Amino acid sequence: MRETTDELAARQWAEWRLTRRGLVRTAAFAGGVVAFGGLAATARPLALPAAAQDAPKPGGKVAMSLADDDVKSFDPIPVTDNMSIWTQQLVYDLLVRTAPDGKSLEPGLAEKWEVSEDGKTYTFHLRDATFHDGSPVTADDVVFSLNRTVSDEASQWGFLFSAVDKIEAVDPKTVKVSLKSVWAPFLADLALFGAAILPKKLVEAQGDDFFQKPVGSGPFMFDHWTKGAEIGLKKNPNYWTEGQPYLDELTFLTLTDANARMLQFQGGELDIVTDVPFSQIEAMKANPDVVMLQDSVARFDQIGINVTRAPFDDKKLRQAMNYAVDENAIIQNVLFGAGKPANTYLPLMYGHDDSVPAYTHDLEKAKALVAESAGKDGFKGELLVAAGDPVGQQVAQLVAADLAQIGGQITITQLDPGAKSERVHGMDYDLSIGYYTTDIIDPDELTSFAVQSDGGTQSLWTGYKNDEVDKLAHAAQTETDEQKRLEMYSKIQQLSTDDAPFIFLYYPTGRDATTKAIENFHVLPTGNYRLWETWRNDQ
Amino acid sequence: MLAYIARRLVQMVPVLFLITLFVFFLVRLVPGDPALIMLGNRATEENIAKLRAHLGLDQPLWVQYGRFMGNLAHGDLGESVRRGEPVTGIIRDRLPPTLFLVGYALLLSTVISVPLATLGALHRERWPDQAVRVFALVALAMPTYWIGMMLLQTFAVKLKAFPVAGYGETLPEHLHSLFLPALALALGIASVLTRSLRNALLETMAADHVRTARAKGLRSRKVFTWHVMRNSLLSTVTILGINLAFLIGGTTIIETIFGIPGLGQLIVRSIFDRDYPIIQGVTLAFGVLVMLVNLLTDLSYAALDPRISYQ
Repeated sequence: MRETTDELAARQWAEWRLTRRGLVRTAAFAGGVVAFGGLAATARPLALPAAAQDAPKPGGKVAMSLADDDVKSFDPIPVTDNMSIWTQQLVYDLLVRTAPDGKSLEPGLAEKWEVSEDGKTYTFHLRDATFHDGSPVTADDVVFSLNRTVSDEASQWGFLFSAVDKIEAVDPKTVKVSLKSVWAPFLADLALFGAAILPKKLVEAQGDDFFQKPVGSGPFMFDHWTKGAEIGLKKNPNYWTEGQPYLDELTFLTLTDANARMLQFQGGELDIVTDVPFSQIEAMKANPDVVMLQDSVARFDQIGINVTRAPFDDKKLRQAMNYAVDENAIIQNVLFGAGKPANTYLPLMYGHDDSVPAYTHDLEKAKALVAESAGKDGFKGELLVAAGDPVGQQVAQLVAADLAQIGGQITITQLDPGAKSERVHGMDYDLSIGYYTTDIIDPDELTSFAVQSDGGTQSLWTGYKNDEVDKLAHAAQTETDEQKRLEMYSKIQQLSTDDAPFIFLYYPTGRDATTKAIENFHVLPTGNYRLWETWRNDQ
Repeated sequence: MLAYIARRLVQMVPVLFLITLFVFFLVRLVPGDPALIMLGNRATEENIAKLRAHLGLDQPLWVQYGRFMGNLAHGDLGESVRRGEPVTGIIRDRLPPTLFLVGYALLLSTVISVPLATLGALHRERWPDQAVRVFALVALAMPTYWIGMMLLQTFAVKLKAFPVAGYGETLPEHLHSLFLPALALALGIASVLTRSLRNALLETMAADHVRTARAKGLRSRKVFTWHVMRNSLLSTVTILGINLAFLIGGTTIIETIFGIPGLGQLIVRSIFDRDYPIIQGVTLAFGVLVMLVNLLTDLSYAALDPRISYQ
């Protein structure tokens, strides 16, 4: 028996509630400490409780949707879109990877590793693994792949590895990475898809053609790719985890239209459908043939406030706006309950602090604050929403109505997503609806681009700057004591929530549905899925 | 005839040149930067500058246009911004499903509209005629998108008579997979075709040469096929030619609903991504397609009407 979705969701929320009380923080983060502390980790397979109850059955095929678009490329270094990222993670291996709990790391191609006393040298010991063409994974392949990620001109991910000084092969099974300075999130950065290990010889021999028929060492092998329609992967029989993957074949169908996607699922063409529209969650839950999954994903939906513009440069007004907006009404009416009010810029992930007080809906407080602010005689603002985003449009209307109660005259402007991002990046806006997700399990990436003024994005183009936040963010990057680090991130969350550079909206749940035949399918907080642990119970 | 075709083909060149000019600058006038969209939340100043340089977007516009035209002269449409693959290859992969879909829709629209128009014309102002008119009106009023969803829901999901998505691999599979999307597209044009063909038939039926034909004792079926239908088709073919642009527009929606890996689906996604090379390439391909169909339309006039000939 698998856990029902409701139980699963309840359990996940319960876990986060416990975290608030600080009870399980140490326990839950123990895995993280092992990984982040850089102690030698042991290869212990981690499984969710649901998986333990039924013995996995090998065999069978699974068809799943790609909801955003086709995979853009199988090259790990230039891609930034989730469809490419999540599919690549089934074909390629990483040195270390995200564990099923989504908060800690576990060994990948690196069976174990050591960190030097000064925290600047990492030594990785590779396991015996082979690429899909049968050739062994060697230190040369690792050095080649990581160098591409760090310094190739096409790489979009070099910025995460700016601390890397040198990557060298000690012997065919050992790789040494030297850092210029201590970099606490280094292992988490290595678990980024962009640091995937590729076969050096094949990539060098085939050039760009390699990525049309990629070869990795991951659980699934590339089989076929009909551009714009489907991608087929086959089981890697020589995968380094005994018995896995269970499934023989995976097919990914590109289905960007939500209605079409749901019809395909109902028509039996899909076993797993991703990105179920909020409005259909209830119907899916009520369907006895369907398992509706609402895994906890690390995503934060917010309204960015341009704090460089009057009157939004007034913190009291921003706080008043936060109190005025009724997040619960939005969650109930737009998300049909599939979310939780947001309290900090860090979504539900490692480092998120649930104890930071959220701006719960309080109209009296909002009115009192606005009376003391630059908006006391009423204020005007333009709210940007992406065209073709029905959820964003509904949220915008509710927010505008809420803000009207404290004297806000909000005009909603719909823009094509590209045009909208141009205005936001040019700081030519008042308010803008947006969201972000995380690529790594460490809070460093989101901190540097959401609230750190010198992180390169002007605090997510809000113009927000708090010297103490900046100082703490830098200190956290080099702090090796995990407990101290977590405290720093808690402090950053307290400060930035109080400063309110955003209207904190919600953390939505994942929305995926499977047929009853699919066992042990879960979406990690980073959005990807460990399909090598999934099986069919009808085999 | 051959000389005529050659002349028409040569005349296409300046038109295509204008299309390149238009598309190239138009897509760049639309706000939104491919590098910015591609990087999303990771778009730091440094990353944007790096990516723009990598994609060649940091060059002045006229340099970019010069490079584009230089490559085009060699049959090279450049590389996709998002996919890093040559655009010619992408279009080659995506063209067959779209061509098949458009051709299939044209065929179905003819198969639907010719009998209906005949029925209407032969029973003018009586109930079959009224029924045909109602059908045409309803088909015209329903958006292609909605027709597609309803067909999908009924025939693919509930009755499972057709696959819910895809294109298939062999000819029978194509015919089977694309039937519903082609029908959804065809219904839209069929209504226009039926109405115009019915009117044309009625007009021709009242013409002198038809009366003469009947007067000399020809059987009415023969009169209808050779004297009425053939003369009426001229206007229908014109409408069909014009509607091809409409059909190609319709593929963008229908391909998305039915998950068909064609050009329509590709260009929608590429516009969101501001993938300039793909937008340019697909627009050119569509341009060529429309011009070729116009040529074919003109040529078919000669086949239908012996008085028309081309030198």
